[in-house]
Amino acid sequence: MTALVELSGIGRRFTRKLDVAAKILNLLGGSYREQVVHAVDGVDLSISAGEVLALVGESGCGKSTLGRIVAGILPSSSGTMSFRGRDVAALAGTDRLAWVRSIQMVFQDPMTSLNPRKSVFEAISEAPVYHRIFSRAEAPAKVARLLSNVGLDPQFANRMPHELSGGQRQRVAIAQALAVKPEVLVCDEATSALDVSIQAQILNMFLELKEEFGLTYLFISHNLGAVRHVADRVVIMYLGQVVEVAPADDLFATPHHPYTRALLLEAPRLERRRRFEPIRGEIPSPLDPPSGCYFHPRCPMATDRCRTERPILRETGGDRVAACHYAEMVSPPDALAPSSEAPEPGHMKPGRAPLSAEAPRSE
Amino acid sequence: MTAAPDITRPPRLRRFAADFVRSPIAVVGLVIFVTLCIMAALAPLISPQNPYDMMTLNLMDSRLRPGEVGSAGYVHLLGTDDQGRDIWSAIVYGLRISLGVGLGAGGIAAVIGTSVGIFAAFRGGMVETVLMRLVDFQLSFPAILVALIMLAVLGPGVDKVIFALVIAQWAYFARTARSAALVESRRDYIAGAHSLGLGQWRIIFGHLLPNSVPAVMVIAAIQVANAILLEATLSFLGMGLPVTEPSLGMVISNGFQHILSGRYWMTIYPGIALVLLVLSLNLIGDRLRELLDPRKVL
Ligand SMILES: Nc1ncnc2c1ncn2[C@@H]1O[C@H](COP(=O)(O)OP(=O)(O)O)[C@@H](O)[C@H]1O
Ligand code: SF4
Ligand SMILES: [Mg+2]
Repeated sequence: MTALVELSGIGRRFTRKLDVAAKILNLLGGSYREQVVHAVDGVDLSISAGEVLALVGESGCGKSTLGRIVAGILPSSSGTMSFRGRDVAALAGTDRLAWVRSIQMVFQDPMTSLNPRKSVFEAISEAPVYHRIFSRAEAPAKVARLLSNVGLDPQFANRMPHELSGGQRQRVAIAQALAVKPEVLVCDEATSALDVSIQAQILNMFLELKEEFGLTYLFISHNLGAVRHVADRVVIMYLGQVVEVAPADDLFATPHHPYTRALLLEAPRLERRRRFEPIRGEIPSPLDPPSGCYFHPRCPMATDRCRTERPILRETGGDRVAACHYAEMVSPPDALAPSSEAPEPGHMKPGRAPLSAEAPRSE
Repeated sequence: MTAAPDITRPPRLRRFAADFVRSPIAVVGLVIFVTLCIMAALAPLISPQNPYDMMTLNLMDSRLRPGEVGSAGYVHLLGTDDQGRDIWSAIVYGLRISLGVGLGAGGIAAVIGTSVGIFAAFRGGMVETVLMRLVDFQLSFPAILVALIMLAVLGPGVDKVIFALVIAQWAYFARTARSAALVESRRDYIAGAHSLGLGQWRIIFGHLLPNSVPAVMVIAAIQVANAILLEATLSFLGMGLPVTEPSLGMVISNGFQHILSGRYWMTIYPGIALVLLVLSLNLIGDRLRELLDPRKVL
């Protein structure tokens, strides 16, 4: 597999500047410091052409920030990123534009992902007409085609965003992205604001579109269970850092990081009674991360070594990496769970069969 | 969030209009404002004389009380001034000039201020810091002071008054437009527009501007009212328009000399017209603010 997108040492800091009051107090002897959040901290990652890479972690761990960096919406503050082997920082003019267009993003909140003042037709046709991918005269036919690709009736072209449901808006947002012929789609919790039944429909649609348009996905979710059916590989993030990367099947069967294991136990699964085992402890503030292993205050396996020595991301066999001193000793998620169930056919292999046969238009 | 789409919902504008008229006081404001605008537009048709055509004035008619009949044979509804000028006609023509100057200055200030504010929000960084410092600096002086200084430098004239008013007011628009555009630019559709590879001017004019306009409209009504008041104040102080372009402020100023001699009509009636004009704009502006408040759940 060729790496389509390659990140190396990518970081992103956000600085909260001091306000005037704090500056004045500082003159009088106060000690207010600018606060720096390392939203993303030294991430190495490669996305291969044609794969579905899931990015999972609790809210606030930097998933959206990383997704925006990959999509070229947000500049990184350190590290390098390459697209098709070329450093994107060195791209200019049409090369840069080609890269920006090649990676499209589908956002979480369907209420703000569309311009409220543009009709569906305008939303979808604006960029491709601007880039001369198709002409204004061709636009009606092209838009109708894109709408049917995302499971909407071509009549939707005349609607305004406020006349659409959340699921319909997300479909329009996807059609808008597809219109500029992207290679990579970054889906940032694109279904989590939607009704559960509609989530499954949109997920199915992503898989169908993947085949039809030859897409590569970076699939962001806070719910490990939700990516089970779609992901080829999974990246687990904690406090801005990657803590584990593994092929999906392996990761679900034998996590190599206690945090992954905790996420697996926490993930709500439709097929079994919700047996909630929340990860204990609070998420530490990214402003002031813990010493040693960032996960140690919440880790059931933590030792003195974990409190002082930061584990590095290391190979743990079988195409996998994990950042834990005791990666080899992490037990499978079902070892503790008495009510483990027989593996159901659908979930081990990301089989491309639709999750449900329902027609997607009925929302 | 996933409720069935409400296809029967009327379009935005109609819904907005329906919301607007639910406030009786705002409707009163709108009716007054529209009436005054129509009066100003139809000035030659609804006034018995052109008050600034010296040929139609007759000193015989000077200082007539409201309701008296002048030498030309018609009733001076609101009386005449010391030159025999019909006050009603002076008000109607004065409205024309006041409204013209107010809308002109407010409109130009809105366009300039909004462009500056949106550009600042879009570019961020040094550009934004410098532009907004300028805005803060300007806003630290009262508008009337800025206008007075401008006119002292420029001298009289309609264009100069409008220019002075624009200088005094653009910063209000810039500040409002910038904060509205900042809110919009944090929304995902703007990130999406960047990602789609649209150029910066396309994003500014096609996406940020149309979505920031509602916030600007709210202060536009109030700022037009302020421009009219500023102009009236300047004219009253004798710093504003030339005598050949008598606005309401000047009519009031002329009459003011006679108020102590009991000829109240020369100044009270134009004063009422000015108050109605400014008040109606404020009522409209308040209602717009209620309806377009970003904190309001739509
Ligand atoms: N524009 C921003 N300014 C300041 N802090 C930010 C900004 N965006 C994100 N952050 C901070 O970065 C961290 C990661 O945020 P985010 O990437 O949105 O996480 P996630 O998508 O995983 O929930 C959070 O602590 C958040 O507060
Ligand atoms: S390094 Fe230690 S604290 Fe960190 S995850 Fe592994 S066992 Fe837990
Ligand atoms: Mg997020």
